[in-house]
Amino acid sequence: MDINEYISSGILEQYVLGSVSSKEKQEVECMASIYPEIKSELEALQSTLEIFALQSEVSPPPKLKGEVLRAIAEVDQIKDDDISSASKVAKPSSDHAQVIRLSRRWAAVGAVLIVSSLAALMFFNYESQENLIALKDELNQNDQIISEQAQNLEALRQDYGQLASVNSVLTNPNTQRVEMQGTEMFPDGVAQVYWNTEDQQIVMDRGNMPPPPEDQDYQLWAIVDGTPTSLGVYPWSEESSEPAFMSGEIEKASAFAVTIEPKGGSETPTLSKLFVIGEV
Amino acid sequence: MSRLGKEEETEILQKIRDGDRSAFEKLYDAYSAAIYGMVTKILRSEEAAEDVTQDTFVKIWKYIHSYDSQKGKLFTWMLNIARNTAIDALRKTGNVGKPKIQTFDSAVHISEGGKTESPVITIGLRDFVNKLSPEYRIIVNYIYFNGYTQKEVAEELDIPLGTVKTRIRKAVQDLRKIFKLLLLWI
Repeated sequence: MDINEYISSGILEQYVLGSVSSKEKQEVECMASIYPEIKSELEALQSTLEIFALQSEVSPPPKLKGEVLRAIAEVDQIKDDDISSASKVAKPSSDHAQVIRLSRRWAAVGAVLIVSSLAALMFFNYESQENLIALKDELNQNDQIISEQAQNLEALRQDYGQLASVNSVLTNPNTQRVEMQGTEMFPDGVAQVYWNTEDQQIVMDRGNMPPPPEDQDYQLWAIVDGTPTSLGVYPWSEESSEPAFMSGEIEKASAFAVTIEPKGGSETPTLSKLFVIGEV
Repeated sequence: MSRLGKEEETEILQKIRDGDRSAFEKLYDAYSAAIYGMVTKILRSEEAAEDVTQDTFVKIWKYIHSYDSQKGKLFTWMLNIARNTAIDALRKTGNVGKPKIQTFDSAVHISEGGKTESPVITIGLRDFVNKLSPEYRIIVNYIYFNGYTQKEVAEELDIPLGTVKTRIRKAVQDLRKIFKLLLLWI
């Protein structure tokens, strides 16, 4: 039994506020009688509550004192030996009828005891079921949190994988960097294409390009033998501005260009919407 | 802290157990204001508070032999009887569902009849009690003064049961900190 753990569990505070079940009440009193540390902690908490009660002291009307004293004059104190002598009353009698009457009485007492212990049992059962339900709720919530975290982790892993392969293109000695400059549409614009001429992969860095209009996409083109070849739309993301892989493999190209196209991209570039362009 | 010294209390306790009514009168003089104040706070009616205070003292007289000094101080035992009697009365009148949550601002009474020895303590007390943050005040009020179960508080405030438990602990610990300084004075 870790006493400090018990003290810091909060049960003592619940006890002094009168917010424990009768079972917990017994437990606290039992623990306090065994462990002096628990007892002194409990006493300190009780003192706190006493002060708390004293801070709202109000003198009752003077007449109340007389009423109280008159009332107790008519009430007997219940003593422990009263209780024990009461239980001694039922002595077995030699009279047969008396015995039967007594045993009937005891049967009744027994019945009452059984009923009350059943009630108590049901009560505790009800309490523990309540606890069980609360626990199940907590477990469900935890499960949910765990699966959310797992999804987050999976997403992070994918992001990481993506970045790692982008990085491998960027740092590859066979990769050629092509800088694209802004056109009249975007005079200060700069963006880059990283082209691995060996395995022909293309990575695009969006540079300082602004977010595309909502119903439109940026599309990357390679000019191959004077003809624009689509490398797909740039996957614009609010959260990340990292370079992204583009689709298609390019063996040779004389230039790269980005146009603004309707969402999803076009078969052929809209040349009036040429955004940035760079020669190899 | 209690109004009677420990030795005095032991002596009075023994006399009351022997059936001495004048000793009981002393007990009444020492604690009736604290008990009446507390049950008034629970019941919010002076008339009901008088009845409950009387019932409380009758119970104290009747059951004085079952008080066990090993389990705690006499004052604590008396306060528990008072609180339970008051909350029972509150339940009977059906007021328990709609508590008027008192803040400590409205709940602090300066005791009447010259019970308070030092005005400094009384003035200081207001400040001490107000230091308890609202979410803890409300917990203490619901549970201690309105007899709510932890589950009922959780439902009423729409917070998890675990949070109620945590706040109970924090509230009592904070009260303790607040009163620690005060304990040195009294």
